[in-house]
Amino acid sequence: MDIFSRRGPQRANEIKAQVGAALGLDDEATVMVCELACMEEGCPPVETVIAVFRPAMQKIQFRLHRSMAEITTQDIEEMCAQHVNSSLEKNHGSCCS
Amino acid sequence: MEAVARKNDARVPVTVLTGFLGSGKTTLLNRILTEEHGKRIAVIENEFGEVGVDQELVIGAEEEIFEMNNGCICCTVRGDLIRILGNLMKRRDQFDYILVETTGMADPGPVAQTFFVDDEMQTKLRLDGIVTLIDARHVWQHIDDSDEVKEQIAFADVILLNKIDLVTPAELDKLEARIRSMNAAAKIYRTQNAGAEIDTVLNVGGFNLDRALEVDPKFMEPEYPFEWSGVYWLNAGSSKLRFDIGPDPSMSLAVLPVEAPTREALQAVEMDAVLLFSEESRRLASGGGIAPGRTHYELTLDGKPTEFEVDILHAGYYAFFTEHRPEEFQAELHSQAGPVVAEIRREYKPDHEHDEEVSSVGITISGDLDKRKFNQWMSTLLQTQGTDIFRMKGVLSLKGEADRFVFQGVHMLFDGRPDRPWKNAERRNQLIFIGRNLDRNQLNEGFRSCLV
Repeated sequence: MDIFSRRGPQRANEIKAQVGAALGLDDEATVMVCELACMEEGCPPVETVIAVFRPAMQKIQFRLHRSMAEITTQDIEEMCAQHVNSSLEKNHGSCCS
Repeated sequence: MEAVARKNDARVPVTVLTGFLGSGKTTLLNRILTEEHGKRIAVIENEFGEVGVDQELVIGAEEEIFEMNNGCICCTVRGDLIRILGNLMKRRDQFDYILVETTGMADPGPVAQTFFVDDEMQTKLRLDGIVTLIDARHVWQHIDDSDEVKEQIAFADVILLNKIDLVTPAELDKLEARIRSMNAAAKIYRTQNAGAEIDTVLNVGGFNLDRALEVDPKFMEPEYPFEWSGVYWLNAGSSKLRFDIGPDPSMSLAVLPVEAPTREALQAVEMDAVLLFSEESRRLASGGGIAPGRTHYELTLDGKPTEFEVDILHAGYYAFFTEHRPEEFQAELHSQAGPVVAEIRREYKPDHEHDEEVSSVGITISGDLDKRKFNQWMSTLLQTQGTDIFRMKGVLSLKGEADRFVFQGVHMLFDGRPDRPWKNAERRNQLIFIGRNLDRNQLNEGFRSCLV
């Protein structure tokens, strides 16, 4: 945690766009990206939570145990592909929510 | 200047309306929606369905708590709000302002945090303030045992004490004192039928960093553990501090050197005295010696006249901080030349109207902070007590930085940035915490340890 660092929205926007493309989200979907440094017992020191909210559907939630800056396009593609495959297999909205 | 800054801010201002059932939220909301104020307001309220009211946009939200991380309150936001705000922003041209009405039982923390978690959200929306309505008559039924009521008060930037026609002025004063003890930074207005001026609830700038510390200066005064202080000129040598019979069997005392017999010089050591009084005291029986410096004395008075030696090595001004007022014991200080009179004195009136759990702590310390130490202290503090720290605001003087650093946060999430230059102003640090089970001395000591 660094109280003096300031981060713009660029990286979050990039991640949102990549998640949107990988999941084929439409305009009604809202993607939230949040980097957490929670020290509660059981939480990793840094993690990025990505959540997808769609009307009348269960939310999709991903957690990556790294900062936003460290997340790669490959991470997002793999994570989203896994979600899509899992959804197809289980035939329901989300594996992570 | 602040109004200009807000005018130039392209982000959409958001007001969050909280208040227990029956406190008058809907009355206020209806007034805001029907009164001529020139704003196009989108309202997000806790009812299903989407309806238009007088050309306003009203959207229903189903309360949906979204725990991002193992149920930790610091990482909990409102999923419904994220979704609705995301969609609302696609219709950005239809409104100028967003009003979020929460349910009576809503925890304001996740609502407020929703505006801080996402970097993009922060660039598009500006949480302007949290407005809490309170039913002045019935709040007493809940204030002691309802976490929701306490948190709605603690999180607020503006508090409307509503339905004042149903209580006496004395009851109202008592309630206001109680609320003030919990959240000393909020602006409190007394209203009937939620009849507040619109300007007092919209665009209040409660989360505006430019006015992070525009609070009643009295709030920045700590709760003093002493009732009196006086500054004396003392020559080198021994003086005598005499007490007659008084109402208490003992008296805490600290003596600290000060620069001059001025209010400013006294103020500069008051926090040292507060900290000293929090340390373990050294009991001293009549005839014992008192030396200025870092000792917290507990003078044993035992209901009889007593006398203590005050040993001064170097002539100068010394501030005496006493647990009780000296008049109660006819206390006198005598040097070898005769009685010595305090050149400046101050009485402290501790506020006895307390909430046992929720309180505010304001700290002011002159000097520069070590950035690394402050970061470390704040990180540890928020990691260990973030759940209990509802809101905090601060203006910091950082070593080597020409500009003030202003910041504020909700639980563990915060927003900060360099502000205007200090120029010739005294460089000092101010911090406000509002939260549950706050340890004033621990916060004071921790903050002080961050000084260069």
